[in-house]
Amino acid sequence: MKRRTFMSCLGCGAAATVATQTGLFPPVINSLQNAFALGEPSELSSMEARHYKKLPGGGIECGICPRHCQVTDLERGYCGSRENQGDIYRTLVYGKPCSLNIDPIEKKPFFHFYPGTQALSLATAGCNVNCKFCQNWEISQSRPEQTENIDLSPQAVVDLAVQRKTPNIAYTYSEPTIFYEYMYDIAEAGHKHGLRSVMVTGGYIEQEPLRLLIPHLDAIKVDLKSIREDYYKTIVNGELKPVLDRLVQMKSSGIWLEIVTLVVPTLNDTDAEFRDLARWVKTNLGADVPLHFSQFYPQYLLKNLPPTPQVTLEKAYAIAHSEGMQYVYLGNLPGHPAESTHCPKCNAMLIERNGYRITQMNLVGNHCPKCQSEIPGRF
Amino acid sequence: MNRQGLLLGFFSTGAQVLLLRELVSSLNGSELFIGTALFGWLIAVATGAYLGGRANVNAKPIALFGMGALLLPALIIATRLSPLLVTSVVGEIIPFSTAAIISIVVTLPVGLLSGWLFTAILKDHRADAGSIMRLYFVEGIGAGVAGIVITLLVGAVLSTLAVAVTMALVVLVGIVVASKGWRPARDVPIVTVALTAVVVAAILAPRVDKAIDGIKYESYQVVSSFDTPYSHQAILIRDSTVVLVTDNTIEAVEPDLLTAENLLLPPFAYTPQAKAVLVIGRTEFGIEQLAGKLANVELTIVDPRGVLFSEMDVSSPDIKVTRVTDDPLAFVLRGGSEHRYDIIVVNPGDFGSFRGSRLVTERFLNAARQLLSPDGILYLPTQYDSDRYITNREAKLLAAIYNTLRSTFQQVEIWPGNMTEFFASDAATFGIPYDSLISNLSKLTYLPQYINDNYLFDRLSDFKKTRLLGSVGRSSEINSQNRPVLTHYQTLYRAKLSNLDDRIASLVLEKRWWYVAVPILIFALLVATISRDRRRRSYGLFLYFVAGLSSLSLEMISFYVYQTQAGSLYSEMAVLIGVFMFGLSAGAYVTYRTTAKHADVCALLMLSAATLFFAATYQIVPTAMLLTYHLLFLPTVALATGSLFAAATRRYYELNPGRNRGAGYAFELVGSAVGAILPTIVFLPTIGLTWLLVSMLLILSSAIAECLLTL
Repeated sequence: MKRRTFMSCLGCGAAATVATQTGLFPPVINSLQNAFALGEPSELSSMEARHYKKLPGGGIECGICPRHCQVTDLERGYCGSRENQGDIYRTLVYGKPCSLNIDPIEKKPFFHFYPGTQALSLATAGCNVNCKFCQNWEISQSRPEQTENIDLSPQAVVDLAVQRKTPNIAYTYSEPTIFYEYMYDIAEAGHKHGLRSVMVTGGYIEQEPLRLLIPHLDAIKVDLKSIREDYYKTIVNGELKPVLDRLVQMKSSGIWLEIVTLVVPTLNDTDAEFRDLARWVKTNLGADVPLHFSQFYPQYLLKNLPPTPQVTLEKAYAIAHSEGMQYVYLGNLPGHPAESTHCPKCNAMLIERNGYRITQMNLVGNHCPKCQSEIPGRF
Repeated sequence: MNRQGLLLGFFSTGAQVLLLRELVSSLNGSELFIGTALFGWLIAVATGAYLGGRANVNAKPIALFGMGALLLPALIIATRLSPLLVTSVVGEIIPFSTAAIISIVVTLPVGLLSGWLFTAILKDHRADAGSIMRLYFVEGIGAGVAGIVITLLVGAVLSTLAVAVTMALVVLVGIVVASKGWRPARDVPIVTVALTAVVVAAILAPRVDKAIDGIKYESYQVVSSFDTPYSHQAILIRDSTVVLVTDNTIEAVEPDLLTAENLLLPPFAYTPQAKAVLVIGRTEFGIEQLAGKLANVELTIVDPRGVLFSEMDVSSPDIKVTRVTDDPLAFVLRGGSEHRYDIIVVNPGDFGSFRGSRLVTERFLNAARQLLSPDGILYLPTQYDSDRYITNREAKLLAAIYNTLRSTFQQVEIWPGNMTEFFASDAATFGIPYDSLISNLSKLTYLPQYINDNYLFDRLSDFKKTRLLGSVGRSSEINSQNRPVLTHYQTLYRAKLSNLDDRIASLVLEKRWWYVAVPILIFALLVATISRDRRRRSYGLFLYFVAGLSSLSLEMISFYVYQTQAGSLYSEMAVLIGVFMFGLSAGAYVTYRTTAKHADVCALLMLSAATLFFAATYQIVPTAMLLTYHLLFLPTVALATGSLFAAATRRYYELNPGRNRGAGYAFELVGSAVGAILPTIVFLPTIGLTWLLVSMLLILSSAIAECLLTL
């Protein structure tokens, strides 16, 4: 054996001996074994999506949201949860929620919708916008194969809600518009069992799908992220006008509606913006629509922005009130008067809240016990 | 030429270090970008040297120095403002890929100039081969001086910007004197003007710092902006809220009751009678305000940046606070005192920096445990949200924290929520029912607003706790200094913020099959360079590669170890880089001057011995000796690699006098690039420090084998 060959063999042999005998090598071996196991796609749904049309030259156009994604074969829409498979548009998340919880309805927040009840809450991966402050970015900005999904048919969701005795089912966390078919079927099945369905949405949905969905829903909470178009463009990556149109559509349909605006420091916290927002809501939806201002906490891409100061929220509250909004709430300020519901006529305490608890319920039916005014909502 | 060389070393290393510090500070304190910045620097220096060496290029050193002097302060300001260029709104984070590009781009201009200057000085003096080595040697001395000066000045005396201006003036005056010789009639006024300018810069720099932060944090009032030896700080105010920004990241907000309650109150649910509370890690001013409302609680806060407390008037009149200006690890390791704490709050902050992850290691936790009273609780709140779902990457992070705590303490409890919180104790403290927790909290003299039944009934529901326990039970990995998995998983977790980052991180850090290719390629390179069948022998090229690889790898490893033990590299980085550069040049110079035949083997043996010694001793170095230890280790490594570089040159070019003069340098550069990026960013969290050092020893052994085989 030549000297060079001998040295090579010696080196390899020594390395192999060290690797197998010392017990120090398992981290390497384990990590490599794990590496090879990674990347296997999880089983996704292949249910045909609704609200799309085939394009004459091939490909499809999605009609579920105002993006109207035109998608060629084996491509997906913006939301990442719907895929063109041979010019049949399929939803990949039908029956595949990645998050399932039981939440107080106040957490959504709904303040005028069966206070004190709980909601079986679910979400799938994907979203049709990309808010820089998204609290649920880990699932909303993921594709369904990147999240851990549970196999849960619409009937199984309903059964679970019945078993857990939750009277509400909430479609929340990510954007339910992107799992429209799943939400629709659960809501439809739920109604048969007396379960209510609530949608927590950004309102970025097309008119027709919403029109068909509303009869199966009982309440909608819309995140009206700002009243400025440029905010929607730069921060949300969406459009304001379709959201405003849908809000009007929802209100005119008679479904229970609440609005939440997340107040983000420096981005949508000016007096003028609070005023414009309150004025628009009052003019187009009515003064009796509950309007919540919630506190921003550093999240997702805006991790380097501090939380919204309480004084800013109080400013928003005061301006909305001064504009004539009757039910203005501030989120996540326990014990603050703006967490509770007061009669707009006599200012009597109707529902006292602290955190997610109802600490006092003075409503009689849906009337103020003092002045008998009717309080809008579902109680 | 010597004076110009000295100035070159001073300017080149000084600029490199100042830019590195500014990058770390501007890119959220992440050390990941030291590697990419050094990689960019190496490429820039090589390109500059190549451009300057071209026959038709003749730039005068004085012009290049002048350009460099003007560029440096501008680049510092540009680095600080760089987040504005790549983000659309205030407070937006910078994706890793963008940050890596920034780190390379920022170092390019000065790197190019430094490389160019080296050849320009040589051309200016029509230098021969011997002069090249001499210039390299004096450049190393200048580098060492720059390192020491910067470490002593920045943060402690002057801000980074003031030091950059001072350096620029020193270089400008220096080059005039070095080029024309000392003429008192001309130079005394110049020096006087320069000294005045330094004083003016020192006075004006804080205002400029403040103005820059004013541009960055538009809509906020900047109260102050200053450097400490550990970080860059800014204090902002808006809507009656005070915000402390550290290295471009929000560290603390006052008032922020939700965070303050989460950081202090949960352990009181288990031990409402607790009195002595020790707070370690990230600063949170709200804790102090809140603790003042809890009867009899005595607070001890450990933070190395004592200056923060005087800058922010946050003291509460209701409580006696003991402030210890010390590094948390050093503080707990010193132990010894009779004082024991009922609660130790460890708030590590973001695990993206080793500064945070080193507080969740067996070493730290064991030391902290010694400071706990027998039924005391170590409480570790995190920023991870486990309220509605737990993703795979988040589960790995949480599991690593859980397992590390379990490896030290007998009992570990977790609370899900927007902030996932860990509790550890040696006493059976945690097995109490929910109602008792609420009852304990209601006994406090302060009525919690968030840590109470109104929220906890939802947060601590069986459903959520079961999901969280299921997630942390999936992995058995433990975070340690040897294998900092938390930083690794945090990198993966954060990479999800950008599609490009996610793809790169998945490819590099998750799909690990390609790791096998690295040793195979190194071995292939070894075989190729010693192959007898090749018509032209390439002996020496592998040595170039090993010189580059080992120098940067061991430098980065030393940085990592120093950072995890001392807490911060921010100040000491300068002196460590300075002495390293000096060691490199000294090693190359000495080897060039001697005629020893086996200089390569000697250098490799020296490197191996240093690596072996480091592997055997780095964990047992007392805190007080850390800097000395690394100040001895790094020049030793540098001396050996410098020597190896010179020996490789001799071996390769003596055999092949007509070969491309850039080939050896190119191999060294490839080795350096691999050493700057792969070992600490990729392999450290995968195979651990021990195996990384063993791998280095194997590579060095291969190089020794090459030397012996190709005698």
